[in-house]
Amino acid sequence: MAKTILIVDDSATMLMSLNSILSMGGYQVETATNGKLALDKLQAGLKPNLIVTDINMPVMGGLEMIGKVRAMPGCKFFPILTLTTESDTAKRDEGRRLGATGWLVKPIAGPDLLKVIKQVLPGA
Amino acid sequence: MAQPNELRQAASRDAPTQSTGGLSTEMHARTLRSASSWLLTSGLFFVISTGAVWFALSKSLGPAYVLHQMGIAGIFLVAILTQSCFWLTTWILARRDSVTIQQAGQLTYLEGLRVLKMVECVQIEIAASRSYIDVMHGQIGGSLTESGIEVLALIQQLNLLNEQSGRQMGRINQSVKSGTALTESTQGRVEQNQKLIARLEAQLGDQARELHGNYEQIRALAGEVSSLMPFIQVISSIAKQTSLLALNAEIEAAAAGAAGRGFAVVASQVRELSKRSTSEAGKIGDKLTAAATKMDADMAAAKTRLEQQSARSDLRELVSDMIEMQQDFNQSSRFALEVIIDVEAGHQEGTHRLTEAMGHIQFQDVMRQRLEHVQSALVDMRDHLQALSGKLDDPQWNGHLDISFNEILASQVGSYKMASQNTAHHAVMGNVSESSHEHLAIELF
Repeated sequence: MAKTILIVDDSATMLMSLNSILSMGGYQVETATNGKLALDKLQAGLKPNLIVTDINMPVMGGLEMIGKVRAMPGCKFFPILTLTTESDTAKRDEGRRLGATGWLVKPIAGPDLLKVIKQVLPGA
Repeated sequence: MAQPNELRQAASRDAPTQSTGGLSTEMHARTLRSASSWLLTSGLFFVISTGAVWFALSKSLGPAYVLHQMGIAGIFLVAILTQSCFWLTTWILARRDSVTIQQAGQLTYLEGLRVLKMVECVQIEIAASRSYIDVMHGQIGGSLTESGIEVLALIQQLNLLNEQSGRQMGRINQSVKSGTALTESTQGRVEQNQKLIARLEAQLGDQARELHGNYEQIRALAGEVSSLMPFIQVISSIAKQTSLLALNAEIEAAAAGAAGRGFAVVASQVRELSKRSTSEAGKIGDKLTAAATKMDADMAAAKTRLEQQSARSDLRELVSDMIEMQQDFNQSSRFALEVIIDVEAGHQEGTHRLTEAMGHIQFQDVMRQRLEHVQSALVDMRDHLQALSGKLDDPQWNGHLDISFNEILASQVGSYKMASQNTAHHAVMGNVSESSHEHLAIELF
């Protein structure tokens, strides 16, 4: 059964391109356009194997979302990757502290993204 | 006479000093120069003229009268001194704002008017910059929207292409599976047919050999039967001669009379025997003829069966052709499999390329964020210019600003998200980029 990846990004082009890359990689893809909508999906019962999230988004940013996801029961350890243009050290350190699994800077080549996902998703 | 360019240069020389305490603009400097030159000229004129009047009165009316009137004169003098202090203060302030006495003194009234017109023109231009910046802001926004739409359309087209390729791959795979199954099925049937044919061939061989043996026996028998016919004729001929001899013997016996009576009986018996021999020889001949006829029929039947046997070899040729066709079919299937493997590899390569292309498309999002930041900076510039324009109309404005352009530009550094933004900023400003943005593109914690 294909593993499910939740993509969180406010950019339509990013959502669509990531959706295409991950679908071609054989993954089931769910999308949300900000952290709040992603949390709503998780609270509604979605159980993704991985979250790939942007950092700077309206309503709720990626870092805040990561903190809230890690506080949810059963969501302590599954991988969360950030994919952002943000390259500031302070933000990166905050992401690490909040529980992000890795920090990816846009743009990232599709094959590279799939390689990273295979690394953080054993058996994928 | 001081030229406007010189005044601009004078103002610009002091720009760093003024930036710490407030606005340092050419217009402000010119305004100060104009005011201070007027005040200085008129003040000097007032002091000199007052002194001259007092001196003339003391000469014409006498010192006593003048001293009597000293109170009034003192008041004037205090007023003059106060005014002079004010003038002096103004002059010092003007001096501090980089206006030299010479430059201030050389600014004429017409130049002052021209400066005021320049201020008005600059104010109008600054006000108009709002529309200019808004239009540029809108142009960037429109470009971003259009590029976003086009990139989405491009992604959709790439997805469609990939889906079509995938569907085609599926159909080819299905065809190959069907072909492979058909090949295997046909091969099984052919193998069964081969075994069947082998058994049939063995049976046919036995039958052919049997038929051939029978045919040869019949033919030999027919030859033997045919070889008996001359013997029958010989027997018949002997019987006929014997009958003639017996007839002669009877005639001779009859001629002999009683002596020949016994011989006549024998001759009669011999003739009877000859007749019976002839009759039996005829019967045997008939039977031999019948047997020969039957053998001819059997020979013809055996020949027909042998010919049929020969015809069955055509069937073997047909089966042989079928096997050959099957082998060709197997070869074609193998070729088709090789083709599908190549096509599948091509599809995978295409998918790999598409995922790379999708990565490159992310540049649109990066560009969008950078241009949105530029839009935000344009709004800051517009608001700053409009505030400046408004202050030019404010008579209470003392030339100080809450924030300068340099400070706004410096504040942009803190709002950069990308290392490339920092690099571009510092490349223009000639600074060394700080390392807060220098990190790996992929980092797993």
